[in-house]
Amino acid sequence: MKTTMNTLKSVGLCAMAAIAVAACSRGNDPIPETPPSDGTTLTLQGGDGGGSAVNSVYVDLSAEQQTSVERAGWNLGFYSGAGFRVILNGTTGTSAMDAGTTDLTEVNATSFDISQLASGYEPAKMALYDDTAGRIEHTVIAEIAANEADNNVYVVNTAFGSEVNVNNVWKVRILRDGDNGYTLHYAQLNATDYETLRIAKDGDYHFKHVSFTAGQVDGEPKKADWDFIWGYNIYYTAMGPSVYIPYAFSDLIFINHLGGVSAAEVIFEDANGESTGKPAYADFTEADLGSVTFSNSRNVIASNWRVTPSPTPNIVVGTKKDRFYLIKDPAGNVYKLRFTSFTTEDGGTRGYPELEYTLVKRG
Amino acid sequence: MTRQLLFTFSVSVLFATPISAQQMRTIYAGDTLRNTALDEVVVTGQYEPQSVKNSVYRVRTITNEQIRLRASTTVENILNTQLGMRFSNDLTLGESDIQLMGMSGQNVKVLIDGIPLIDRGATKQSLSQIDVNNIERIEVVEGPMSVTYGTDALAGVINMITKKAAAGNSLVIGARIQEESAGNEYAAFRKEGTHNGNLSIDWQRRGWLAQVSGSRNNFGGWQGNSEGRLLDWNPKDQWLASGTFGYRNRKVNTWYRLNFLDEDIYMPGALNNLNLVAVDKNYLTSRFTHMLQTEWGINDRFSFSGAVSYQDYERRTKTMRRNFRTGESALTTGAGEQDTAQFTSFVFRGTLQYKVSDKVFLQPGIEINRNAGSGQRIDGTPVIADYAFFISSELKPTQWLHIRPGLRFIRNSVYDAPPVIPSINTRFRISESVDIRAAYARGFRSPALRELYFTFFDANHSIRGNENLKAEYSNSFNTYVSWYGTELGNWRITSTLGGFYNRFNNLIDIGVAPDNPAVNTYVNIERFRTVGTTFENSVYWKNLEASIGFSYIGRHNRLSDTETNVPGMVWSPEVNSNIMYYIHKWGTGINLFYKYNGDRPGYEAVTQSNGDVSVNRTSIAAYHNADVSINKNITHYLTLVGGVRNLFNVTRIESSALGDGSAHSGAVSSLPVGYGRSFFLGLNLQWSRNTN
Repeated sequence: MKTTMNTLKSVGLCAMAAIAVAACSRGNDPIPETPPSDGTTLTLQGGDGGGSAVNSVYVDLSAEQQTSVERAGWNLGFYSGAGFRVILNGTTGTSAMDAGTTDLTEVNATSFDISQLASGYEPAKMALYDDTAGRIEHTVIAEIAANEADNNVYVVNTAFGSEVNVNNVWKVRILRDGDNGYTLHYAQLNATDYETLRIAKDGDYHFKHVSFTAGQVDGEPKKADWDFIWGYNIYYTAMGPSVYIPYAFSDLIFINHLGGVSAAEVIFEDANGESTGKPAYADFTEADLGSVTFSNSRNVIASNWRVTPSPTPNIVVGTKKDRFYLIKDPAGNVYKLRFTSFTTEDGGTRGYPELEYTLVKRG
Repeated sequence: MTRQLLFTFSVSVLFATPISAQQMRTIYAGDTLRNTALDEVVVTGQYEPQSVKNSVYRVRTITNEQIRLRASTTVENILNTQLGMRFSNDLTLGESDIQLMGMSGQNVKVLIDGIPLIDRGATKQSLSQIDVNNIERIEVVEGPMSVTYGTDALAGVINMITKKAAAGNSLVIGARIQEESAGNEYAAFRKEGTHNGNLSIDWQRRGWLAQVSGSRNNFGGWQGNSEGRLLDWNPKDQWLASGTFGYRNRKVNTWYRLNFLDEDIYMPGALNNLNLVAVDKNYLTSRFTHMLQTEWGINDRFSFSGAVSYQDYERRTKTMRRNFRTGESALTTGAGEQDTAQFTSFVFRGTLQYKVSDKVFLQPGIEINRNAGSGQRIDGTPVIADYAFFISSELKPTQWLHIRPGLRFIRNSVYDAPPVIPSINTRFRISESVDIRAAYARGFRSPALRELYFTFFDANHSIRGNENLKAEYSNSFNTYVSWYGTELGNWRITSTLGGFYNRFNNLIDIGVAPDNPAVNTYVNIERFRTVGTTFENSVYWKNLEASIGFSYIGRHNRLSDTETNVPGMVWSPEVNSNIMYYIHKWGTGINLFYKYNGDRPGYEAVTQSNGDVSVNRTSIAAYHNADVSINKNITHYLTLVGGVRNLFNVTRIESSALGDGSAHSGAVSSLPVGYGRSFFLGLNLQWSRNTN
């Protein structure tokens, strides 16, 4: 009996659909305007590894999208914007040095002391890594020159650590490929011949990613499709007043500064738990935006949002409950965002941080 | 969070029915207080039970009387007014460690009936895992006893002697129930406060003996300055059981004993208000200590003592996420958050006592130790075996001289043990009332399993063991002059003045791995020395027994090796006093246990903003520790005991050091000592029947 009913219904629906289609003139498929997300909660999928989770996670707030990218899945990023720049994979703490020659075949473990690529707690080691503020003009690899003879060989260590394993060390020489691409010559440090890869710029992306073992690979999402990246990265720490050393750790949040995202931190409670006069997360509305100054610096959030265990007395390990963040995406949507957990001590899981966000102003 | 202090009891109902009208004797009659302490018998390091006065070692005894009158629920409480002993508390793990004569717990040997107890790490957590209700007395020997007891016995030995029934056919039933507040927090019988209960039965007939005992020791934690779900002191729940079975006749005394412990230390985590999740931890420990001991008097000249022990120690870390929104609970998955560490230990010790003549006594012995461990933080499943042969002799060439030389030879399966450990103890009887003891001994500590094979790498720790460690050793000298005052009417006074000097080499400490500066490991670097003097006095007068002691102990200041203008030693004084007074007419005793722990100075190097290193003087504040107890015999077999612990209401003491050095020192500016002034009330039953 029920089956008959359903069959009858289906037949009816089909008939109505057929009439509707027949009755309308065929126009262009209208692209529906998708409103930005009003906000939701997300658990970022950093994957296994806890404090050195295997993935970086790109987040697009307005689309409620997250994209996990294996950190070890790429080695170099080729800039698609103006100029010819190549970045090292900071999410594995990749280091590099100029080998002082243009001849790839004459560079090997004998001519180059690979221990120079080891990490260390010294300010001088900062030179091994790309700019910790993410400024594109401050890469280890000098801008790729139009004049081929000006492009030196670089020795690249793909693994972060105080000991260097020669199996992780590669040599590269990068040239321009016309006005809109790159030519990469690369080989393991002690290899006598090398491979060549051509990488075309793609305006939809900030960078095109290359893996020494897999060639050109998919990496970050399109530049308009993410607001910030979470994960492990090379960064810096203070080793005394005004003494900064390179330091790699997890839970760093970098906004898509090259893509026009800006952000602000709102601290509404002081160390004693008293109000700073600023509105709390729940109270913050569009009307409060007037007093907020947004910054386009990549490191507005960085690791300021959480406290890790340490011998420091009276610390509360977990996400900081005295602050939240405002993020303005490329479309002008402003979200308020706070982190609810990130590690065992605050009820979360390391490598799977949880956050919630709400639309404050539609762009 | 105001917890009301409710001190109400209805315990007595439980024990209201008299058991028998037969001939009864209370084992611990209150009026035997005026005992003669010098005739106390000690066993630690002796060939045969020996009076304190005749022992070639200086042995300090905490008598059964003191333990009973103090009505402690923990061994720490019994020891914390002893001269030269201090405790440090790790509130994160709910553990405490002992310091003896300026040295930390890993240099102190903890024994139960002469058998070493295993510990998982450097701290002597085992001290807090013994049933106080089973302890007859505690013997403490300061200075190395490595010839007899092997590794760890550098600073001294703490030997806990369990209760053993006197000879004869008898049945003894003991019961105890005691309630204590934890500072201002208390709830009856569960949760806040300390709740201790024990039931024991001893039976003996025609040489056969059997003993069973069960205890619960429950501590509800203490909130202190913490807020919400967090507690300053975490709750600890212990169940302890033991059973003994044995046989003795004129020649042989053999007994087997099993001690069992089940411990649950619960650490509630803070509630995250954003996701309504809290993460709680439990440290679950179980311990089985099997002991088989025998003493065999072969003939007038030979006797044999043998001991075999097998210990199984398991400590489980359980981390649980509790979601208060959904009501769900689940185990967490982070590194080290669910872990079971397991340690086993096998000990065999056999000694032969050979009386060559009245003047020469010889004791050869062998000892075999086998320790094994496993767990996430231990690399592999390592086993360490240690074989030792030792021989000592007691020579009495004349009436006034008593010499005891000894040697120990060690072979270890893992590290290069020192080839031979010597010691010589002497006692000179100057007169009937004065004697002098002087000793030289070498102490050693073999690298612990943890120091060899530990591995702990996570976001915040990078520590690994070092398989190339050498043993620590010390050269130690001590001298004691004792005066046993002759009876002056009702008065009797004894005094002992002593001094010691210890020089330690190859002390194992945490340092930076030579091949990788980012990793910490254990290294033999430190030299260290301690110097001290003690002055102990006892007075007996009618029903009063009082003691007062002073010590002044100096510890090496490591910074003096590299910095000028700092002293080579830092000194700390201590004063202690026990006063026990018994009022016959009321059947009541009043007792005071007191200790002053002097300010402990230190020096630390601090790097200034301009890169220069300056040396700061630091200090751990002085504090007073005192317990007062009153006990009253209600009937022959029932005693009521009540009192105040931590009379000076100490919770934390200030420390001006930037880093205290211990892994979880909590606040830098203060160190946890206790949970404030607490009150206790308990009821003890001792009923016995002679079954002849």
